[in-house]
Amino acid sequence: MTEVKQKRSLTNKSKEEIAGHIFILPYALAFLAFITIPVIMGMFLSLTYFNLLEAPRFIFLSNYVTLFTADDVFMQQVIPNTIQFAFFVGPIGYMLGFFLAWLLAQVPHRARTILALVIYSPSMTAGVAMSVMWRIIFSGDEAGYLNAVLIQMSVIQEPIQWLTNPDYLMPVMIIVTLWSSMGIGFLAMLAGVLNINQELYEAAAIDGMSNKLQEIFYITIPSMKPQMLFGAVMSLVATFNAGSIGVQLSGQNPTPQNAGQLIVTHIDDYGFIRFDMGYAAAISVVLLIMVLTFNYAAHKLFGERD
Amino acid sequence: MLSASLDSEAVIEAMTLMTDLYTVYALPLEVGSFYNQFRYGNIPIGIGDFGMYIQLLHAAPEIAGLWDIAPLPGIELNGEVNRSYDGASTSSMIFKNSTKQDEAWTFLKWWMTSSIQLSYAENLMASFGPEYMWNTANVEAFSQMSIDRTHRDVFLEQWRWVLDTAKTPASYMLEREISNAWNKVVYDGFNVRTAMEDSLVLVNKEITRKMMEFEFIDSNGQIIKPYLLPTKDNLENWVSKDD
Repeated sequence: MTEVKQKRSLTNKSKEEIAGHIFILPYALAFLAFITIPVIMGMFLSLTYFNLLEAPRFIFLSNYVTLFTADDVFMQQVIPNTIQFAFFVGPIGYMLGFFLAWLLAQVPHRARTILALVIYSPSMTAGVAMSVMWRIIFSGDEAGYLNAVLIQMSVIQEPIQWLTNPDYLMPVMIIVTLWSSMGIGFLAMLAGVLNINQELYEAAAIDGMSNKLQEIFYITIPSMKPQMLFGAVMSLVATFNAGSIGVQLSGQNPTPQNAGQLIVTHIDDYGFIRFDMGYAAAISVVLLIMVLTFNYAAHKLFGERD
Repeated sequence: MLSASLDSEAVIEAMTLMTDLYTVYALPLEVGSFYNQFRYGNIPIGIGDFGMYIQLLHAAPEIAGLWDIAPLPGIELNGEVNRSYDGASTSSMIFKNSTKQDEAWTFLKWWMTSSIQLSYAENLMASFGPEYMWNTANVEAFSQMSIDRTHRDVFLEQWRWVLDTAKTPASYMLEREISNAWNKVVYDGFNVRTAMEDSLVLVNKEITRKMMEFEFIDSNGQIIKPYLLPTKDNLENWVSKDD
């Protein structure tokens, strides 16, 4: 009798398991078709010479050898640029996202919704804003907004080429990316801040916590670790993938003197301008490894062990 | 064969002129919208392409008839003003493996005839309006198109001066390195010759790489098969040989 009962419960359990698998099947299939297979194909292509016309020819690690030993632009400009860009946009954008989310949590509900939408919208409209706003603000003739204002205030005598002068391109790229970086990670952090149990703050106040800064470090951040992790991963991925910004701003790929050349632009250059798909695939594999490494670090930092 | 002539005296001289225009003579480095600035009269003169011509012709009615076009400015050489300018071009090809080579050849021959090119251009303008003016590459057809007569003569005059550098598998590197050299001189105050010599190294490296990729030379620089530079003379030889 007991044996039969156990058997039934087992079949129930496996039935549930099958149902669960069926439920995730559509997503699993989409993930397989659009993520896994392309990644594996990219890895395969990175070992070949492929010019889009002829069939890929297997050349083993030659692409990687060229990438690390002979590609001056990659080693001297793309990697330093990417690190510089990631250093500013990643951590600063992330801290800014958290800071804005925390600030928003302090304002009343109705105003908060409107402000959250205002801060979130740049991340959705970045493409449109690029052509109607940033390129006009930073336009290099005296009719560009920024130049016109600076000339009027007699700060500069002649227009500055914000987008084609290598000295200015990178700072402009960083500003524009920061402006549009309050995306889904920011929303998650806002939700995280709002979900913290208010009793914790009251208890802490009774125990002698005296200022907001202490509240942030001892209550807010520890209570929203999952959202912090999500935000970190999102900002990491966005930072490494935000490569085309320099090309959009300067209107040319490669950017003037490679000043705004990031890994993604370098991939675009090789893949879609020089049609060296195998080599482009090799760079993208390197990018994948970099993103994975930083993700791993983010998990170490914010992840919970369970 | 493996070297661009970026350090030749003529190229340096041309590049010096190109950069002096901006560093010494203060030409505006960037014009946000030539079309608007020209309409408002802020910029009295400019060099534009065929698209700009059509835009000014049809989208700027308030200055209609107040402007005109002329062939590009040039450098006086041997008593004649040399107005050479590069012309982007597209070409048609027939694949070796195609099963319909003869049909393709017949089609291309039909498509390229002056009368067909002319009627295509005229039909476009007749059915969609004059702003769909289409500039055929067929000189004979273009000279018969129903557009402003004086403008057409200007186009035909400039047409004589279309001259592009010979395209090689590494041509794109030549273009971007010349841009970079210009950028270095104008923004960073580099010496023209230094900038050009830096660029030359990179261009030559790319030429070697491409020649190796397409198996014109082997990895020791030994020539496997000769590479014929597609200059104007060589192209004319090819065309006349088959015709």
